[in-house]
Amino acid sequence: MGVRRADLRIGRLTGAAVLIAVTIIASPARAAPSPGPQPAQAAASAALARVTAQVSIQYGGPRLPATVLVRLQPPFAAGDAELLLSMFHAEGHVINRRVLEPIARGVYRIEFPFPSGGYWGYYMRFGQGQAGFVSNGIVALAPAAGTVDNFTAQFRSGLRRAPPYVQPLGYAAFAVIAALALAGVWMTLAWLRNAGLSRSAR
Amino acid sequence: VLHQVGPERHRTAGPDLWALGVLPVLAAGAAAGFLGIYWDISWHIDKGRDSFFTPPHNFIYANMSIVLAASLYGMWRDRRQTPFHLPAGGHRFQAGIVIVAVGAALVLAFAPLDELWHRLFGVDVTVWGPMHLVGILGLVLTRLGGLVCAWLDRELTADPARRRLLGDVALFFAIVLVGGSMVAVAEYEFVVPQYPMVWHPILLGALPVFTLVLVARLAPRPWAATLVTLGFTALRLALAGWLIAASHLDLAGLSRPVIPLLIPAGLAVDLLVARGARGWIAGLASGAVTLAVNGLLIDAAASATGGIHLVWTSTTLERAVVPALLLSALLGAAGAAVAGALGDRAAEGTPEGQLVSHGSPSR
Repeated sequence: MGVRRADLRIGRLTGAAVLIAVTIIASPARAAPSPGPQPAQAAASAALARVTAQVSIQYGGPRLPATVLVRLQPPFAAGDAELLLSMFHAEGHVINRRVLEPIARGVYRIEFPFPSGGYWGYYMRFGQGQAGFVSNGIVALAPAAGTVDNFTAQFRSGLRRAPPYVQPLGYAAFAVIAALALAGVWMTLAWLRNAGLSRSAR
Repeated sequence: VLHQVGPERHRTAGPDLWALGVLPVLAAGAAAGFLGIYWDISWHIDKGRDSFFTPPHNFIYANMSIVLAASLYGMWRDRRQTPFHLPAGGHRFQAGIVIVAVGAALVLAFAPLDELWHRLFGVDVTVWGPMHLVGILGLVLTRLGGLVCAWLDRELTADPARRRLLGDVALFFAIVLVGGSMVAVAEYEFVVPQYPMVWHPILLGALPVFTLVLVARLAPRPWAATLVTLGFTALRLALAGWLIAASHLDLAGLSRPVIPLLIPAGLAVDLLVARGARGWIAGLASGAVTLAVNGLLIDAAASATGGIHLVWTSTTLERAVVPALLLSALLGAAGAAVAGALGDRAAEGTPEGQLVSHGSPSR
């Protein structure tokens, strides 16, 4: 009786897990569209081979944050996805790091402090995991009130050395390994439960 | 079960996993693995992935090899014949140590698989890389296995002092289990996410729930879930100290992870479980509390000071809240189910609980 009730509970939990997993995976995916061209935009694929960003930094003055504006080219390259922007002093004194939401298609804006001039590193990325696009480098900045620094950053795809199916294939492999491992653990725990039940029933 | 097993206890005699030195090694390995993985992430962010044999990689591989060796040693030496030892062929293995061995094997399998993956397809600089997830799953399983080991050995002794000790060891494994599951959101805590921000509140709210509900129902001590969240916070502070020290030695960069506030979630779970709430309800409440506390208090404070902390926009939270609560409820139910398998205190009051309870009056 107790064992049957335990089995029923496991069944209910598994069913709920499947339903909830589908909801959870579907909701954020729907809310946060993947970057890159839509299927109809065939010509866009070629354009994505070269993604750049025009970055302009407008300095407000001493001890005031500067306005950083990033414009992706082509503007649809990231879709409506977020952009991770990190700008850090080459000697590691300051790290400005934020995830930005677009204020218009392909345009991102943030205020960062740049307390000193000299060489600053930058790192930008959009997209998911290995399928993302990354740009990094070093620029020389000269913060002075009212001036503007501009530079162009070149992005590269994380999948430039691998076919597009690699990431989904990897996750499928992980799902199989995880399912096997968790099923093993679940069976062990179910055995423990049933062992306890049968001994108690004696 | 224990008093019914009593007459057979002479057949269950023999050193337990603590006496064999296995549990202390597993506990040390779990803590070291926790430090090592964050050290590795910090290294990747600020120094890059220059080779297979970086200091953090070596640290993780070495301690997981020791954990695997300790678990195999435990399987070999622990020959007791108890209701909690799985029969396999002519041998019996303590159920928890089997889970530890599976987890450690996954971690050690992940290392060469990950290297092969990087060589074939390039470096995927994300914690959520497919092979990285195999490693994280392995780490989480070793900690869950450690908790199960300690709890089962606790149930196999009637000595109150030993029960207290093993209950506290189970609590320690619960702390590192929460720490290990939170590795999944490490990139968000370092503010270098490689996936949409919406996943951060979903996972931050839900991932600790499994362990908190599990430990609150096992109740090795009063306010167990709260103690676990306090321990987790202390562990994360120790991690911050470790990263600062490593940075001074030029063995890590300057990036440090934000420490999430989980203590209110622990309190909520303890209060609800003590009132007999079902696992999914306690989980749902825990997820909601975590989202509210971290979303409103920490992010608001960070914005006021201009600091870089959790950067959840209202849109992010809006998208995350339903999936976060659903996942929290699910993991709460899973935590309660696992506690039921281990004979939790909460189940004792029900007819089924009277059957499955492994408890003893010394609780």
